[in-house]
Amino acid sequence: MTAMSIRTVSLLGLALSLPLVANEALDILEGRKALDEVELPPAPEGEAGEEGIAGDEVTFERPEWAPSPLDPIWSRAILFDDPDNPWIQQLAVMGMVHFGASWGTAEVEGARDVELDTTRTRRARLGARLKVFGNTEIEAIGEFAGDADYQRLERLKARTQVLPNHYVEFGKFRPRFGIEQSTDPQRLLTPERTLLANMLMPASTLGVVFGQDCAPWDWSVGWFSGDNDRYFPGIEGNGFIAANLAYEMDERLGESRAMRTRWHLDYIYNMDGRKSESLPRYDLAGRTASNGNQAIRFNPSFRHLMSTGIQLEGECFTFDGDFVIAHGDSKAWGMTLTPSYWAVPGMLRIVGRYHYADTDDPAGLVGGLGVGSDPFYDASPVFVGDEFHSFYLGANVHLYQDRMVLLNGLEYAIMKDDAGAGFETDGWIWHTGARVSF
Amino acid sequence: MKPLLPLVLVLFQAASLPAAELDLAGLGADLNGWTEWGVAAYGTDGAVFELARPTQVRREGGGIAIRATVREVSRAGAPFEATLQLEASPDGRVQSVTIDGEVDAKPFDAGTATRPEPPTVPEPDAGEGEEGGTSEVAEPAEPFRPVAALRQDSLERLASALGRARSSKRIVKRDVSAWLFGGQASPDDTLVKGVAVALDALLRRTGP
Repeated sequence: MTAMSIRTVSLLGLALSLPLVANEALDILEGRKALDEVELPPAPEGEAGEEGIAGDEVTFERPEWAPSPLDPIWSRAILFDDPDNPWIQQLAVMGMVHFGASWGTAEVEGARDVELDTTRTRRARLGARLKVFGNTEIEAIGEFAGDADYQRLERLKARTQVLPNHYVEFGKFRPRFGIEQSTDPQRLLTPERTLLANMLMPASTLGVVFGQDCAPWDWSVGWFSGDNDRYFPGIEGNGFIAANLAYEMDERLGESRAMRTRWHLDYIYNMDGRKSESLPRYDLAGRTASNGNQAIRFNPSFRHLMSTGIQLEGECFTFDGDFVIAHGDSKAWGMTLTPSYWAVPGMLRIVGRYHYADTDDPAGLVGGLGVGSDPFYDASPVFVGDEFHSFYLGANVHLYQDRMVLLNGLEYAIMKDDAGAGFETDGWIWHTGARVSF
Repeated sequence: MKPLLPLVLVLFQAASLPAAELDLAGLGADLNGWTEWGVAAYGTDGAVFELARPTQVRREGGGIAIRATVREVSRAGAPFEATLQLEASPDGRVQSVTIDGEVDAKPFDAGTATRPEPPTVPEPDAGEGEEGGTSEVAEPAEPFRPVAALRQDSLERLASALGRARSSKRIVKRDVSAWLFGGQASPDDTLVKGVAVALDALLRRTGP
């Protein structure tokens, strides 16, 4: 094909692909007009160039808190703050006290009912955060929890920015897995995590993670030890691999409203199987379940764990939806749906939650009810079964921002035990609690 | 010694190049003095404001950027906070003023007001008078006051931005402590006057 014919074909193609006026197309073909002399009509709506798209960009901005007389008190938690200092940029004290109580009765079919009336300091934490060298953040937090006999070093980790948008985390900390497990307790909307979250949550242990934030995507991959020590875990077994992928975007809701959407996919491969001490992080083997005195012979053991879900956040509402599946010696799966709505913005937040967990194995689900629902901390009654439903509706009163909150709610829980001994359990539980953090 | 003389002269000239500076001591003195917490408090229009000690960043060529924060003092923390950023040329003339901040937890952005250019004086046209046949008496030109114009533009932008922020539908979260004991920022006129006092002092104390 000659150079002339190539030019003719390309011009024809261009003339057909662009909505040029017919005369102008002829002028170009006949050589009376150069291509760059033609004024192109505006692109149809939705096909605008970069400038047009930039004009439609949406950014979700979280509503601000109104000034409060307590602001100066809370700001004292930051002991030192100098962004221009080359060595230490910030030193802050971190702390949290969560006092919880629950009242209710678990009615067990064919066996004695179990009283769930309990009050206790659910968590008490004290620690420090240090920002150094302009690229590193160090956190150290000690914790008293459960029945207050339990004390541990909850976290001792450093996060270093190694390249633009790339970071490395190392030390003792919990890997990211699922929405509830990854949410710091001081920001949880409900007094307690769900049964499956407590059952599958990995321990806070020795690990190293490499990740990248490249909006709208972010990802990380890390290795964690199979050791589970209250203070300083070491390297034990082959450990487990944790990988995370997430996509975050802002969408327009109305003329002046926007919403943030975040999708995530988390995966854990446990290389130690049932020998791992950090997955699961509790030891219930040898204990007796409260529904029907059933013996718990083994701890649940999983090799593959996967979680995927979305989080929506608007000015007045949030919604978390998470699906989890775990496969190993047994199989367990479930989902959690948690909507919330600010009835009075900043003051009163209505929180709902539906949780479903299932397994094919007899007594494949294990967990507590009420304040002692996390089997990691204490010797509260535990229940076993093969299908679990929980309906929670509560109201959180915010005395000071998210830092001083009263949590109240009513939960109805059903633990089915069809595949096991048939000790089906259900109960109404009233939760109340107060949480202060800084 | 003779070969070094031009070098010494050049160095001396370089050292004597104009460089803008903010007179912090004078600024504090204008606003009742700096307290031990690094703020100067002053009252205007029935409200109390404080100016945090400004920071200065030297620009290439001798100019400076000044960053200052004005807050309304209230028992509810800071219902109004404005950040003023002034850019000054090496000869100490303030070239622009940028203001943004928050009022009752709603952000506002007044944008940047720039120093106006001096008006160009038209060349008298020799033939104009002859064609008209009458000799017109030219009106006396208003004196050119660029700093006053810059100040006026900044404050008008601030007043407009405050109005827009207050009327925005953006939700503000007001917790129980703020609802019981919190307060709200003063009316816009008062806030503009409070900023004007600090801005006047900054313009006055910025020089070569």
